[in-house]
Formats: sequence, structure tokens, C-alpha cells
Amino acid sequence: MSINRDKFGALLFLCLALIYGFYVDDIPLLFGDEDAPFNAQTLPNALAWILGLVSFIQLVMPANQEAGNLSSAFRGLKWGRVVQLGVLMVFYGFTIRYLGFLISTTIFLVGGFAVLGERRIKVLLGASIPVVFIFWYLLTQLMGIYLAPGDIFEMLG
Amino acid sequence: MLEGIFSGLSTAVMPINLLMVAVGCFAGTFIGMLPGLGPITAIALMIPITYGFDPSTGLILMAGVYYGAIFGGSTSSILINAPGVAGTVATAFDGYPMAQKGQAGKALAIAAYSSFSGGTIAAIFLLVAAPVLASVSLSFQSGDYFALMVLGLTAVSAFAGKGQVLKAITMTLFGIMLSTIGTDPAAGVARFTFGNMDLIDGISFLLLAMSTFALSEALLSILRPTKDTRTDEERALKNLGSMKLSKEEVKTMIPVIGRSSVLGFFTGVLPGAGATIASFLAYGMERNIASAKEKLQFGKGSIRGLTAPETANNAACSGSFVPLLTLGIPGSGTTAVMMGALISYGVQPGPRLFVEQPEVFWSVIISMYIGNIVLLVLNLPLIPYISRLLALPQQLLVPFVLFFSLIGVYLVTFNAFDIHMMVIAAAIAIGLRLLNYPMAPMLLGFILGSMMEENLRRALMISDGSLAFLWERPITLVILLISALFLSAPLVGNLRQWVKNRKAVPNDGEF
Repeated sequence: MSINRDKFGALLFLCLALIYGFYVDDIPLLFGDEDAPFNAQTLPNALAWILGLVSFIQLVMPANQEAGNLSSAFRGLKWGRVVQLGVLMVFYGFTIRYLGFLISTTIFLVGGFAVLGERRIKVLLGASIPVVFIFWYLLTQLMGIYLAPGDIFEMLG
Repeated sequence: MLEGIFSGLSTAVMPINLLMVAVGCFAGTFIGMLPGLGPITAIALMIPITYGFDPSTGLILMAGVYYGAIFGGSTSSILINAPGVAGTVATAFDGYPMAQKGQAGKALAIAAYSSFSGGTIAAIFLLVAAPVLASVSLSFQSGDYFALMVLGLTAVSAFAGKGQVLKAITMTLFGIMLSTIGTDPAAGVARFTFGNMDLIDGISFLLLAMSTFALSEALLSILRPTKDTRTDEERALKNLGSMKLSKEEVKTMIPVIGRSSVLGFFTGVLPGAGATIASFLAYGMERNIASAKEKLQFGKGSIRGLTAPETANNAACSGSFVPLLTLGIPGSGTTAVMMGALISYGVQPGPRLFVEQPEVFWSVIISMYIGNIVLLVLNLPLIPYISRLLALPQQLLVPFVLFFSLIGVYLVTFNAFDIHMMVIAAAIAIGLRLLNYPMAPMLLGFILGSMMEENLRRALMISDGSLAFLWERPITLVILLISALFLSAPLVGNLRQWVKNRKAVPNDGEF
């Protein structure tokens, strides 16, 4: 089964409008705000309705054949490397506090170069370590930004 | 006004600001030449660097990056027919044929002189128009601001490409929705935070800009690898030829520069239009008014065909600062990023800026002149050297872009949650880009969303819940009518096309 790319997008946004609209009621209102001409729910409510309407119009309007089908939009893409870079970024987020800026950034850059096919140790280390140190020096010594050394060093005493 | 100009001049010529203009133009040119990275990414990457600076210095750096990125885009358009940014697509029509004839140096020189002239003339217009508009807009009320924001958001949709109108509207609404996440500033209640304390302050603008542009553009270059054009660019730069222009060529350029500057500036002022539309309009206008003999030259290396879009796109860049500086409404994705940066410095763009922080207002305008001079005297001769930086292989370049994006956001809050949030936002942005949804309207919706809500709330409170404020003041009504026109024009066009297609294709039952 294949669906038109534009129709799929419209369907996604219709779902988003429904979910967003569903959660509008969860926004707490201050006492007396229920009858106010404008409260914290007014704009979200309007947005849910308008987005729902716009997505619905897109869904029922004739399909734009130039858009192609969904599978063609996602075919032939190199997902492997992008997923690996995504995992590396998540890992960077987890380690930056624990290992500190210097170690976590070096690991991130070396990992990034390696994911994208760089295998020469000289390049892997030569392009990452000096940049990380220069950047660290700029931030801490010139711009006066405090970068914590990393929780692991505090734990080690 | 004269006092303001001198104050702006003294700020703009401070050594740090001169350095920032030069650095901005240089960095912008480099990033603009890289395939896949546009001016929004270039500016977004600069924002974290500017946090330690004065607002004037930060904005001066970003203005330099903006000009530089457009110029860098022109360079790759001319040399290898691969425009780095959409605003320089029309440049390739005649610039590339000139380069193929062995006149790449001349084409680059024409582009630089045209950009310089267009930018300078438009900056003079800006110098005159901005204070006038700013003083007029001082009388604006909440209702007028609400109407102006509606205009800004609808105009973006109106100028979206063919078949993209509903998608642009969708993305604008999506941007406004994202702006509602966090604590409601008026009522102080949490909205869509789902109990997560990291979302209490809402999504940061910088996070959204970085992940939807810098991160997603860098990752897309891996996901959807295009032909690596940097070696072609390097090869083309080795055979630049002479950069000198003859008297006849200069004579041909002058009237084109005059016309295209005016057209470019006013197109840039329109919210939602900008450099791309300005360059196409100027190219079209020159071709239409050319004699039959000259018309034949278009597309084959016409000087007029190269001068017009190059002048217009730079003039439009200056023009797009008018709504930003005077009304506080960004007219394009690029100026939306700049506005977000200004807000994060604690500067509120708009008519009060002209009154309360004239040095910021004027120094930006003055720095545009300086930026144009830097582009001409520094960037043009340095093009072969800047291009050497392009030799940096992609496997090294992409991780650096990812690192600068992530650390730029992290250094603001020191919250690792932001890094994870960026990964999620970039993944969504990649998905939406693959579904052909434009990102700039989302950013515009995000920036204007909270301001629009605040003004609508205030206007409704003042009018005691009555919607009469929408038509009571003529200015509000006119702005809203223009918005309705902007919104309905492309939709009516689509509907007419649909009816026409239905008439053209007979029903199955008739056969």
C-alpha cells in the first residue's frame, strides 16, 4: 500500500491537532478565568481547531501527484550513519556532566569522524583534541565561562 | 536623527565591531559556499558566540554573516552552478554561463560590485524609511500589533512555493503550537509540560533554530548525500581569469543596479518575500524590458542578467531589516533567527528600540555599509583563500557542525536535557523536510506566536472581550484585510486550477 506524501503529512498533522486539542483541557485555569474573554486555553483551543481544519482540507483536496508517494520520499537514504550520529549525540548528552567537557567532547568528535568513515588515528586525534582544548581555553579563560570538570572527577576525589 | 546616526557610527566603527563585521562576512561567505548550509544555519551557529557581546556587536556580527552567506552562495552559483542558498539561484542563470566562457573572475566581480551597490543603496533607503516607520508605529496599539503579526504569518504562506501554501500554513501553526509549551506568561499556569520540569520555561528559541536548521541540514547532507561539489569549486577557482570590468560593462550595470535596488528593497520589506523572490523578480523585470537582441543574451552570460538578481538579493537583505527593526516583526526565517537572538540578549525589537536603544538601531544600519565595503574589499580578493577551507573533508566538517550546534545550546542552560531535546527536534525536522514541509514558517510562528497571544489577550481585555477592536481602528482593519488577501489569493488560485483541471479531464461516465 502506498500513500501520497502530502496526504501522509496532512494525516500526521491531523493526528497532532487531535492530540493537542485533547490535552488543551488539561491546562489548569485560575479561579474566575473560565469566563474571562481570554484565558490560557483560548489560543491552544483555536490552534487545535485551525490546524485540524487545514489538515482536513489538505486530506480531502485532490492529491498533488508531483509530491510522489511516501515510500519514494524515504527510499535510498543512508539511515545507518545518521542513526549512529543520533546515538552519539544522545551519548554526548548523557556524558557531558559526568565526564566533563574535555573528555566527552573528544569522544563525541572522534566518534563522529569514525562514523563518517575516518579511520586514520592521526586525523581522528589530531582533528579533535587540539580543537577541544582551544575551544575549552576560549570558553574558560577568555570568555570566563565556568565548565565543571565532570562529576566523575569529584566522585574520585 | 543626525544624533542617532553619529551614535550608530561611533558604535559601528569601534574596533571590536569592525572586527565582527569582517569575521561575520568571512564566516558567512565560507558557510554560504558549503553545499546544503544556508544563511539561517550560518546565523544560528553564530548566536552562542555572540552571547558575551553587547547586543549591537552581536547583531553586527549576524548582519555580516547574513551578507557573507548570500555572497558565498553567489560564488558557488557562478562557479559550479550549485547555489548555496535559494536567494542566489537566479545568479546562476547568467553567472555560470559566464564562468563556462572563462570569465569566472569577471562574473564574481560583477556579483560583488552589484551586491555592494544593491546593499549600499538599500541601506540608504533603510536609513530614511526605518525611522519614519518606527515613529509611525509608536502610535500602534495591541490590536494593531496583533493584526501586524497575523499579516507577518499569513504573508509567509502567501509567498510559499507552488503547492506549498497549505504546508506553510500548517508549519506556521505548528510553530505557534510549540510556542505554547511552558508556563503561560499571563496566567502563570503550565501548558503541555506533562509534569516535566525541564519544559516549564518552554522550548528555547535557540534550541529550535539550531536543531531544525543547523543539525537537520548537517544530518540531511549525510542522509541524502549530494554530489560533493567542493573539488569542482576548487578547480573552477584556479581558472578565474581577469576580474577587471570595462567601461561599457560598468555603463550597462549602472541602470540595472538602480532599478534592481529599488525593487529588491521593497520586496525585502514585504513580510515573507525576501531575497529569493526579489532576485527572481529583478531578473524577470530586466529580461522583460531588454531589447529583443539583448533578450537573446539572457541565460548565455548576460551582464544585465547577472547584475539584476545579485543587486536585488542584497537590497532585499537590507529591506528585510525594516519590519524587524521598526515593527519587531521578522519578515523572513533569517530575520526571525536574528530577532530570537535579540530577544535573548534582552533587546525587544520594535518601535521602542528606536527610542530606547538608538545605538543598537543605528549601529546595525551603519554596519550594513561597512559590511558591504568589507565584502567588496576583503571577500572578493580572498575568495580563492576562503575556498581552500572547503577542502576540509565532509567526515570532519559534519561532526564539527553538530558539536557547535549542541554546545551552543548547552552553554546557555548547562542542561543535558536540551541536548536530548535537540536530537528529538532534529529527527522531527528531518522527517518533515523529507515530507517537503518548509521550516522557516515554523520558526516564524514560534517567534511570533507568544507575542501574538500577548497582544490578542491585551486587546481583548481592553475591549472587554469584544472583537470590535479588529475593525474599530482603520489601521487594524486595513492590515487584517491585507492579511485576508494574502491568505486567500493563493488558495483561490489553487481552487481555480483545480476547477480548470476537473473541466479538462472528462468524467468516466461520459465515455
